[in-house]
Amino acid sequence: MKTGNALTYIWEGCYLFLVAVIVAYSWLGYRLDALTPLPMALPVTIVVAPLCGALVYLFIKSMRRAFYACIVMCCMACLITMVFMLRPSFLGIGSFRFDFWVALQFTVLMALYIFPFGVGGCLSMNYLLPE
Amino acid sequence: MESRNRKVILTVVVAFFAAVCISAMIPTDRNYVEVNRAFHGLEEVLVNLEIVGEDTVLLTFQFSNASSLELVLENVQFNLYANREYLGNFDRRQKTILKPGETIVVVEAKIHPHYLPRMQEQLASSRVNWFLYGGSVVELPFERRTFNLEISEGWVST
Repeated sequence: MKTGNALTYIWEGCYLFLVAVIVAYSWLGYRLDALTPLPMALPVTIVVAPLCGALVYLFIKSMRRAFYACIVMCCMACLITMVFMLRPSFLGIGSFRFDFWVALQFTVLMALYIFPFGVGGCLSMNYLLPE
Repeated sequence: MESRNRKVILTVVVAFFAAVCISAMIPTDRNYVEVNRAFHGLEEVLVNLEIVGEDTVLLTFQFSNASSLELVLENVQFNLYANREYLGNFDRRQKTILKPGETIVVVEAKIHPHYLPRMQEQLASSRVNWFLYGGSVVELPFERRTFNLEISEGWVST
């Protein structure tokens, strides 16, 4: 029983990570549109966060858990973006301090947008398809 | 069982889109690292200053491009001083490709007749401290995005 629970948590963790990758890329693809082979338009970026929030709810199907899972997913997305932006520093290019502030600004802007939209998507899906 | 099927379907759908995102993220990361390498690693050094004729100064710059990108030098512009005497503002608007490695760029500074006596006066002294201050505009190979590189160089001719 415990092994089954652990596997479910691992599965959920992996699922949240995959959703976080999509959310992180939607922001990176929009902000770094000139550098990416798959640029994101602003409307697509705006739609992705609530859609991903809704996907988190559909997977968990429990409002309380889905809400917290959505917060965790948004944190993961911010972390992925932060690591992406700090990659040049990890490779020894430029100064870490400069890159850190650029990455922080980039990530805070992203957080301001994805947290409300992501949670909003989760709540909306709960309204449309109750537990 | 129904719940399990739903979860499997959702996982497959999300994994597909995540795979698309990761495959786009890899070249984006490569480009982002190279842009940073170009931005932080591009250096410019004045390697020679030569006086040609009565009124022309030839300045030779060496640009070192540490990235693997082919950058375009759009413009070089600077103020030139000889022993703190202003000799004019000069620019070179000819586009030059800065390939990975080093590229030599020569800028011809033709002194305006108004400043010519000032320069002759300084050249008559035994030692001339040249100083130039300005910048250059460098274009990245992505949608004509540019950044500026500061130029602050000195040269002593005796």
